[in-house]
Amino acid sequence: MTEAGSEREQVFDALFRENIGGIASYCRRHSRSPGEVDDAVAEVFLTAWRRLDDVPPGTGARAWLYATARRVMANQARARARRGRLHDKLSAQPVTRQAAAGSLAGRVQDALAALGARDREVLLLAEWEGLTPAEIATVLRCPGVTVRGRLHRARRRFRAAFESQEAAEAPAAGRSPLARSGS
Amino acid sequence: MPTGRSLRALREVNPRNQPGFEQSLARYEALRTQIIATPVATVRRPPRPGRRPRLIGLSAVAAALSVAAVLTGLLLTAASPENAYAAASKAVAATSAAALRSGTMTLTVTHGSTRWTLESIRWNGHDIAVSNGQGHELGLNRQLVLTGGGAYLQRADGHWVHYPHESDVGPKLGPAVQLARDDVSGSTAAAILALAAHLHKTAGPDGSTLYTGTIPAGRADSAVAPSDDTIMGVIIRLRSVGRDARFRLVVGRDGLVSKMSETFQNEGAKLPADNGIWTWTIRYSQLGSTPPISPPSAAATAAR
Repeated sequence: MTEAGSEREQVFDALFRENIGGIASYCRRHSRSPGEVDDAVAEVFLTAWRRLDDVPPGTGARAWLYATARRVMANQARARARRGRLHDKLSAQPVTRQAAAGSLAGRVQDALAALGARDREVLLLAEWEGLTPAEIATVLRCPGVTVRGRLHRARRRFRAAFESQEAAEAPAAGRSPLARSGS
Repeated sequence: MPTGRSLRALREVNPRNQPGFEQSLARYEALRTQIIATPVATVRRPPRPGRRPRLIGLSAVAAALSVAAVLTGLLLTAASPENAYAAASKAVAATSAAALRSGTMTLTVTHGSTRWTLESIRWNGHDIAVSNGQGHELGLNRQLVLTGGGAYLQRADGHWVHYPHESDVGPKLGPAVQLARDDVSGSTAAAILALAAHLHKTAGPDGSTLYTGTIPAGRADSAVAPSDDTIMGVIIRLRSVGRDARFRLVVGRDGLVSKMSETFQNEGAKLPADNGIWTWTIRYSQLGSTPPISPPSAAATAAR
């Protein structure tokens, strides 16, 4: 192993360990089957390995990885659309488990479903992946001011949808809106 | 209700915070090791100035395929038979000129003894007609015609619906419109040929010429960019698991590409009596001689 090779491995190793959780979670959210998740995660980090010199240093690396993951996911979605029912014959069950109705996770899921795809993407990149508006702008390839506006709107809409879920379910359940099932 | 409560709930159900998530990442440790053991390709893509235009006009066909012809010569290894690449490049260039005007293509998938026709596409100038196949890319609809900036959709019952603009077809059919545009851009043949290695040329009895080769997993670097078609998507997936694909290109006696296929073994196939062999094939015909695409004589305007 050469010194340069060893250094390259160390850089990749750090990149992998710091981001595997986020990228795996992101791919899981956008994929339809466990096979797709693993393919996508492998694709993202294989791309990073091959193009390590292109990966921005420091905090820019995380946005670069998410942007790559987003492209990989888009490619999967397009292939899935084309394969249509043929794909359905071959693919496994959806990865995302359905949360129990009435649970906190269920209400959150319903509120998220009430958002548009763009709003949901921005909101979850911020709240689940912890990306800053600037990083989200890199991932989505749009101006930062657009992200900030969209994020503000998404939070407002999510809040409204979540509240309406609570209002609809709390009286029937006879308990605090934030009470969790089983607790 | 304070604004923060809904967001607290959202953060609380973050999948990354759920029990078992961190442990689930252990499965990727083997992936890390595999990737580090992957040789880094010495051939690099030239930097691209920006995002590729989403809707490629047919005028781009000649450019894309001509560039591919040049890239074919540049990217392929010295160990490969030069005459095969030169001849393939010539056929691609000739095809590009013919495809600029019009063409017809069919996409099929063969698995075992079963063959699915996913779709058939005809184009003439900027107009495109897509016939639904067993891939059900158009859902239950029969045909999609893009002409005059608008879209005509033939429903399962045979009736046509007119959308004044392509984008009016909605999110369900939007990808189909995009895919049709991408399919006729000619980029698939160019991209796959540029990735092929160990290309061999064989003369067919009917005057056709067969080019065979492989697409090694490590040679797919130029496919890293988001792919616009299914076959390139398959190649990308194969690369991620380190599998090679077999490549075949048939040039007819007229000197034009008539067929291109990619064959691979899918170890994870789930069908019964499955040999795991899949072949994706694109057939081109009537390049330069496909008749104009006409809108249906009667169509109802879609409700907005």
